[in-house]
Amino acid sequence: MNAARVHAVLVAGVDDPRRIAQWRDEPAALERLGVAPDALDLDTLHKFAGLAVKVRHNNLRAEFALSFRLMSAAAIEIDLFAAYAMQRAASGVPYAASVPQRAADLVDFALTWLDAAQPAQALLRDMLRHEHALARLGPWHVPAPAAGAARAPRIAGTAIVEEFDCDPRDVAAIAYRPAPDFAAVERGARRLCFWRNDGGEIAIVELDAFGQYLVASLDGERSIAQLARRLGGGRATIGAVRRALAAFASIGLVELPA
Amino acid sequence: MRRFESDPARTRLGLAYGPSALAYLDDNPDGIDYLEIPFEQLRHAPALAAIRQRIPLVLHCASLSVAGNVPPSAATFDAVASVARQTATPWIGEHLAFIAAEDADDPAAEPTTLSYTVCPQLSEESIERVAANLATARARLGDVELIVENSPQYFDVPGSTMGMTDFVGKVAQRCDVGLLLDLTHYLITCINTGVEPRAELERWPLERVVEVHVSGLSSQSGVAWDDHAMPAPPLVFELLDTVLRRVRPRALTVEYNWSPTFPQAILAQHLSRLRGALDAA
Repeated sequence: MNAARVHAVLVAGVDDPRRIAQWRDEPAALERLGVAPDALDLDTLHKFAGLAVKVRHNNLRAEFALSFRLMSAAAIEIDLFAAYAMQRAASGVPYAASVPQRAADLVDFALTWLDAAQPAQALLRDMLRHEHALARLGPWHVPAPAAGAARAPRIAGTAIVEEFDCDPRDVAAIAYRPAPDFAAVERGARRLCFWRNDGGEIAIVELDAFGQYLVASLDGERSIAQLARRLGGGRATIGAVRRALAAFASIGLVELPA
Repeated sequence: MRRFESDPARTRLGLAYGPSALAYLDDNPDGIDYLEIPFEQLRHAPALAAIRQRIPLVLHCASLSVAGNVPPSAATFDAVASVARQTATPWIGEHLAFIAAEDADDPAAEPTTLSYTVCPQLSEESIERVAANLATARARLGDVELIVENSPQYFDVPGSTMGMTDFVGKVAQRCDVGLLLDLTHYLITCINTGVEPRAELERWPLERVVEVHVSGLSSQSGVAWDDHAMPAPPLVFELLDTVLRRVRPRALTVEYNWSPTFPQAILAQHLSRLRGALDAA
């Protein structure tokens, strides 16, 4: 087989993994390009395309250190990025030039691809969202225009609320062990509010279901009464909302109208 | 400006450029002898070359596609030559691989270029192609020495007529070129092609080795993969000891450069271990 043709086929497959799928379905198409179908390991070529895409995402590692560690420990980096290479090729959209957008695209894909029923992959789903939230509030934070006086309860600064199946902070404790026992991480719903105050400080506030719903509902427009109605309650709910908001305001998370 | 000084009696120890290497250098200004820096990074961020005020540089390159059929542009050759002069690199380490190829459907169309090097067909045809490409590159790059680095092999490349060791040996002989022995690439190739690495190393043209690379690997989906975010496995150190018993390379580069959070403790521990191996050799 002519080297130039073989190299052309390898490059075509790595550049657009849909070609690999096509050759798998129709070996004659590969033969027409000058490569004997039984001479090329298409599965490994596809995974190699995943390696190339993985390396292109090395610039996310600073903000996603634990996510990459989990991917590696769970031995799914190559499969994940091979699948991602296929998805991006199918979308026809090039990889984003900006690091934050490249991260957002990868996280969006990974959350659909990862199997939440697999313990290690469930942890990775949580860790990706955890580190993504911290990155968006930290190095990638885009300041919002200055707001006027509060007319309704609102977040003081920027907040991202996420619900997890574990506390991602617990995962850090085991992530760098030689053979992490992911199954040992305590599971259960955890609701975390990632909060950047107007001074640029970042904190993580743990919420209950009520607090999660309430914080997620704050838009600076809804009054306390409207927030209570969204919760489906009457006077008693208004009182609960008022007390919860006062508690959030006491730690600076929420700004109440004067 | 610092310059890499070759010493036939001493192998220099360096790190591949990256955030973890810079952090190590900040804490240990005399801990390494040089930084190996990719041409591609210097091309897009020329100001990086200022680091030469702190430490000598060795140039690494993935743009010359020496085992391919699509040559780099004249602008790329000129840029490599310019960066080589600017860094005063003792040599340019280039992958024995390709990054571009003709369009699979229409050879007359624009070639396709990847961002990652690919292991070539291991054949006499490729050896002749490497010889022609190296002759061109040498003419374009002037006096700076070119050495070539063995690729990691992940799958059998169709049309190959020999294994990697024979391919590298024949390239070295045919082209009279020095070698950059990437021990992790070597081990990956052995694992993926079912070759026993200790015995195979006896067949390697070690007398041609100018520089050695050490990095990590990971095993996923039944294949060993290059992974500069992982520490080198013990077998790589063992193979290095074998190499050092036979030859004295001019440089030994540790490539832990994919992750800015690579543990500094492991980096320091491995550098200490490598320094010990060099001193004992």
